[in-house]
Amino acid sequence: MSPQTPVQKNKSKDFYDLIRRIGECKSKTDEDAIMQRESMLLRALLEQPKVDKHKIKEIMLRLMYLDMLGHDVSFGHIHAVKACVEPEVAIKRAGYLATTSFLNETHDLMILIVNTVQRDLKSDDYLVVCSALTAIMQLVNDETVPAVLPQVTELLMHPVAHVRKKAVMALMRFHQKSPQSVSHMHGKFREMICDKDPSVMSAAVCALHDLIALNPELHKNLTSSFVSVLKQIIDRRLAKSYDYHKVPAPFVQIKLLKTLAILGAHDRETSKEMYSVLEDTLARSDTKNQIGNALVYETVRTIASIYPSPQLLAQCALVVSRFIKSSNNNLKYIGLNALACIVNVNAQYAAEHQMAVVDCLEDSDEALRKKTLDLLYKMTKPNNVEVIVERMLAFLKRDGDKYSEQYVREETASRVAELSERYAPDAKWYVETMTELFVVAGDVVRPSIAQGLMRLIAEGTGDPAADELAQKSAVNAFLKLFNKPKLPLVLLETMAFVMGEFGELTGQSAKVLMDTLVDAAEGQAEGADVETLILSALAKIARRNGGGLSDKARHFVEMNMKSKCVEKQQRATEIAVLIAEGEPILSSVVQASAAEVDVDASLSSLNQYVSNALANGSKPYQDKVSRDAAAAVEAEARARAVESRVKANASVVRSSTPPTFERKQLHEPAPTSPASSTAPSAQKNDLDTFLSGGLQAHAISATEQPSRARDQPTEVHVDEMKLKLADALFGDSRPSTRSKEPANAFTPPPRGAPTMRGSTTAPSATFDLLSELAAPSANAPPPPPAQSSGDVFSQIDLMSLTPPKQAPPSTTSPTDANRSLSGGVAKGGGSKDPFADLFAK
Amino acid sequence: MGIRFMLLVNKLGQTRLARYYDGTPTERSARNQLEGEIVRRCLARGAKECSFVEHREFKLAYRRYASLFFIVGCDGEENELAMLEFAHCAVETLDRHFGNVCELDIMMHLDKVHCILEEMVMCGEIVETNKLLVTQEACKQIDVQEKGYP
Repeated sequence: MSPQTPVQKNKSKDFYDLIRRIGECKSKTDEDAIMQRESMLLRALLEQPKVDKHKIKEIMLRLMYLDMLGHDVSFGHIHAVKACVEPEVAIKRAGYLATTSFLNETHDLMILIVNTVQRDLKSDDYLVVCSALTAIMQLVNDETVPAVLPQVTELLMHPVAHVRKKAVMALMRFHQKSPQSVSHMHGKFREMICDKDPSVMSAAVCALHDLIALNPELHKNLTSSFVSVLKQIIDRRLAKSYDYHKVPAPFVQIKLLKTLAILGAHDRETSKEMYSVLEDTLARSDTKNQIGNALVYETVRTIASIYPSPQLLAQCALVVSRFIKSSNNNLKYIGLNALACIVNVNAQYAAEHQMAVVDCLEDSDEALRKKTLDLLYKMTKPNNVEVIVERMLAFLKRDGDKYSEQYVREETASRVAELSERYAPDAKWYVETMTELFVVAGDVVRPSIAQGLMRLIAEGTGDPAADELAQKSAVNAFLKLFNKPKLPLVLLETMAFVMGEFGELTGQSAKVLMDTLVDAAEGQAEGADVETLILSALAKIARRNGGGLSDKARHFVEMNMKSKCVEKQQRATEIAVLIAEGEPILSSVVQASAAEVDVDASLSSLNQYVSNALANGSKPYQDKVSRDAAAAVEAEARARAVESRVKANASVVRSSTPPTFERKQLHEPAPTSPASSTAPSAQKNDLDTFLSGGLQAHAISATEQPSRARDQPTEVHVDEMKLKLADALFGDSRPSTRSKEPANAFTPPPRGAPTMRGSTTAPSATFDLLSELAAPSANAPPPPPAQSSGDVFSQIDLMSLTPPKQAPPSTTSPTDANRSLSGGVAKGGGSKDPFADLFAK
Repeated sequence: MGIRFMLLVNKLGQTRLARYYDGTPTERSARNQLEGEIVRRCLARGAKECSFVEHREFKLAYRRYASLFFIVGCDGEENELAMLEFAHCAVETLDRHFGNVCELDIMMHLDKVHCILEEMVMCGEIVETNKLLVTQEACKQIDVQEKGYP
């Protein structure tokens, strides 16, 4: 075995050196230096042709250190994988540990691991099996699940409880990665709840929680089992060693409570089964220690999620009171959480805790403040929205600069926007609030919110007096804001727009407005959008001003005429030109965007032009549908002609293997009898392929065309392509030109063959076909073919559809449940305790 | 689902133990950054403040044990107090195994610590909190790892 060094255990001096140095170093740079050195040492060690096997263990550990402290260990990955393959258990375990730390499921080396794992799962040594299972749990992905699934399933019956426990968790993992691969195994999971060993049982509870979260309906009949298990745990039927701080198996209880919460949600019947055990849990909980409180908290959450029961909720309210009033900040925190849960059920519970909540808002602890905001968000109603939003804005202002708090800021900003929109008492308040929001958190606000605001200000809410008030306050506020040094872009855009629309409401002269805008453009951060908006705003102000620009504004416009940005250039030039034209034109062109713009969709002003053109002999316009239908009818006629000719030459023509296999399947009864003419139909299919441009027709054929009616591909490039093909194929009558065709496309009958009748006419007929198809026909066709081809389409679609997947048979699960709960068959009918043997210790 | 990561960090912010589960960045630089942010956040908090912090989409529950901070990161739906208690349970288990565990123990015997935590948390779910069972099983594994089979 490994040579024991005189020092403790069997690690080398290097290792202890490393630890010592890491322990002593005082700064990150020191640590980095040490790790660099270590990295080089390890690299050197690993590059040796024959690495001492017993050193490998230690090397793995040192590599893990390197990885943990943030350095690259990719040079060691392959060695870790190799270590997993070693027969010696110690090295193998070290290898697995290292691999699970370094690799993740997407790594390339995964494939090597899978093989090793498969072998190890079959090992006799249960420790090896355990390592393999642990590795799987970390590393499996949905592709590798099938490779290990059968073996793991077998391990569910392994004699050692630890192995069973890990096997259950591994299956849970498989379910997370690829639910359908274990969809047939729900019964197995249920069986594992009945395992004799409580650890295995609790693992099964975890796994079932996942399954249930995904699909509660399937597992409602498990409610009684869960309730029973929970009851027995509370009754202290488990061994003492499962106790944690005098509370029996608290984490299992918590998991069970979570599962019950999912099962009972919105379901009165199921919830009724739980009420008594929940009451018991609350009653027996030990509130002196933290884990007892955690349990109580979880119970409150469960009670709040399931169908409401008044007395349970009243007890919850008491619990919440206690938490919030406690002096321990942790309890306050979860009290706030719990209150948020109850408030959803019944809002009055929040009322009695108002003062406590308000206190928490001002607390020095930022986590509490944030939590209170969460609570307030859930509690918002029309009568308190103003206060709450104000609070949220204050929070943004105050805590906005904490590190990497973008997430929170974004969340709060979007909440403010949402609440304001939903509950705003009036437009003025809304506008003010949004302005404030933009000022404080403009960088995280979504642009669509700004758009919404602009639209609201411009179009108003229908109440002219309120609108006027809103607009006035908005422009006044904005005017003041322009003086601020740094404003978010989205706010600037809004301000520019609003100024342009309603600037005169401020009572300032146009010159002042324009100057302010120009100053803003120049003073604030660069943004093309802002400047374009400012240009438009200038134009609008100028219009009201009687057509004149202030000097600053004129200068600004002139500068932008030379701008590199096309948008700005265009607007600036337009403005300059319009202003030069004078006031009447300016005012008619530049209108307030809120004004109704009548759009004449029929373009009646062009009627005269159209009738003139028609009188001169232009073709009238056909819309797409009729064009297509017309083309379809003609194509049909031609196809029939071609088909009859092709049939005549059937004996000589070879049929190529059609790529459009599906089209053959979809082939609806041809105009002539299909049964006798498989060869011509093959030909016709090839013709289809060819006519639709030699494109991958099967991609579009499934839903598109019956073989009879051929839609003309209306894209121009397809037409061109067909023309080119036509030229290539028929311009030169040599068969060899066919090599230019896409593979397996239509093979026209070989020309010049003596047995062919009418062969000389065939190419020309097809050529005509193509040329006809390439140009739209001038004659308007009767509409009916469109209808009939529509019917045919629907027929085709039906045929192409595969039958819908069978729903997974759920009928087996109740019987499984009945089988597994040996003794207890009907719901709640268990006079015999199904879990007696579980807890018999 | 459940626990996303567990970190043991000392007062200076040096990582002494890190275990990551599903739902965390797998790329090294992203992980380093995440760790850095979390550690700074937790270490900056005062002693009286509550032990829960929200960071990005995670909720952190942390507690200070002598020179080490034990940080458990879980997803938004978890029971934070239970997570905190689990951290305590893990520390108690380590204590039982090593006898008055200290930072140096953890550094010297990193593989053993991993062994123990592997038994307790699988796939991010708390599976085993029975200290007796955990230490028994871990001992068996550690013995084999150290000395191999006789």
